[in-house]
Amino acid sequence: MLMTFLKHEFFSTSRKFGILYLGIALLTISVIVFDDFEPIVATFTLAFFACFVLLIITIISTFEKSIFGPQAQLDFTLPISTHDYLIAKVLINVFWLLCSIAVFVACLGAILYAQNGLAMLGEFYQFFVYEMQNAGFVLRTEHWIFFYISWILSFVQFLLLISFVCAAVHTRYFRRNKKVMAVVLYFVVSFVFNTIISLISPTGVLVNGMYVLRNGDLVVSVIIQLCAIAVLYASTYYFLNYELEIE
Amino acid sequence: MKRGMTMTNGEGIAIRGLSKNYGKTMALEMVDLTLPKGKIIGLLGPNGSGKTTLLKILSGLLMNYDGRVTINGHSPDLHTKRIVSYLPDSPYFADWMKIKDATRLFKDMYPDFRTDVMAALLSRFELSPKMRIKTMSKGMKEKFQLALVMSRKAEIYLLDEPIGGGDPAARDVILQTILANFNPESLLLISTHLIQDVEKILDEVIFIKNGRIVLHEPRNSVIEREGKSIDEVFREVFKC
Repeated sequence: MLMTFLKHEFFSTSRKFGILYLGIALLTISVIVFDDFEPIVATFTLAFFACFVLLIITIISTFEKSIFGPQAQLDFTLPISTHDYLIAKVLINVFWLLCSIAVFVACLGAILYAQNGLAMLGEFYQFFVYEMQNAGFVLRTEHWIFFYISWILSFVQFLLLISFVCAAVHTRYFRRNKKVMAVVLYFVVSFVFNTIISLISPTGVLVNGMYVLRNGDLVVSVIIQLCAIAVLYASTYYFLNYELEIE
Repeated sequence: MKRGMTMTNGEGIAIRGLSKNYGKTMALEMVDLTLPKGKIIGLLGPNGSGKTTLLKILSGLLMNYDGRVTINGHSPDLHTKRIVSYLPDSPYFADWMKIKDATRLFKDMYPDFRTDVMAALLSRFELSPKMRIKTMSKGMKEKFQLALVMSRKAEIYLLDEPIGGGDPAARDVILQTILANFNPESLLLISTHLIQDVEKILDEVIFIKNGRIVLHEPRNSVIEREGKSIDEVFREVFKC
């Protein structure tokens, strides 16, 4: 049933992203055709933020409609387990996150190639690495994998936090102002989680005014993130399976 | 209570000491019911009497309650969702969907879904599979959702106000559809306050008032004892 529900989730979310990707593709083509470099950075910064904001809005609205709206009566009477429900929600949103990044990078690459061929792409790569180092990451080859794992896990943690607050306010503990309570709960839980994580996470080393992660720190971060994900997943599962009240 | 446990080996629905409250408001209070298969049972009561709450508990939408509820021996869970066909009292599909999208979803999700029955019902209701839900009227949505629910060969049907928004002519069509597609071996629990329209198809009637069951009897025995129709008895019991 997981694959069936995933297919349903894909179709129900693909329209929004299809339109967005089409818009970005048209923007890319117009930038290439008009051959004007100046607006590129501004346009693509806007496109990137539009993509990111739409992704976040879609994620929240998917969970919100799935639990708050009449659609909840459909989703929670389908013969799928709570595990399948949660896993499908997370997987489909991670898929769209990766797709959004791929579309953005592909379009940016196409513009840079059209501007100055492969040389421009090489410069962009050097610029990207430089910026990453400035941001404080030591991009040693063996750490790249942990960096990306940690990055995706942060997104999964965000998704589960959204599902947790949506599920939590649909229990007997919250009778009124459910949407407001969901927002408040989101910030409260985020604050608590971030405080705990900041207390137990490895501390960065200050080098030339920038925090640099030490060897092994990313590995520890990944472990802490996995623990946070497990707590959020178990709590959401409990609420959906034993306390849920769809009105 | 612990869910996921097998409570009884009985077929149909068994409810013992079921209570459900929303804060200080009691929606259901010590409800005891045994609903066997092979019958059409009317859950009759005014608005706010607890009908929808009871159906939501049976369909697995309300998971927190006191008492015991079993469907074919199982508490409401994944197993019961496979055998229960639930029609809510409001539209529950996303507006962007077309009829064919919803049909595909049901076909994928429920092995007991009968595509040929769905096609026949859509034809009878003069609905096209290409119709988008947001373009449909309230009555069309009701018919479409009823077609989906009755296209399943389920063991238990839970219909919450299936004729609530229809005109008298549409109500007749809907009731005929329910009768024509109801599997005689299954249990059909239909909730409504429009008694006059449905009483002729019922085997048993349940009157629910302020969350309590005040009557549960075969329809014919109520009519014989009271010498009145179910609608008239209902009006007496629930008069303000």
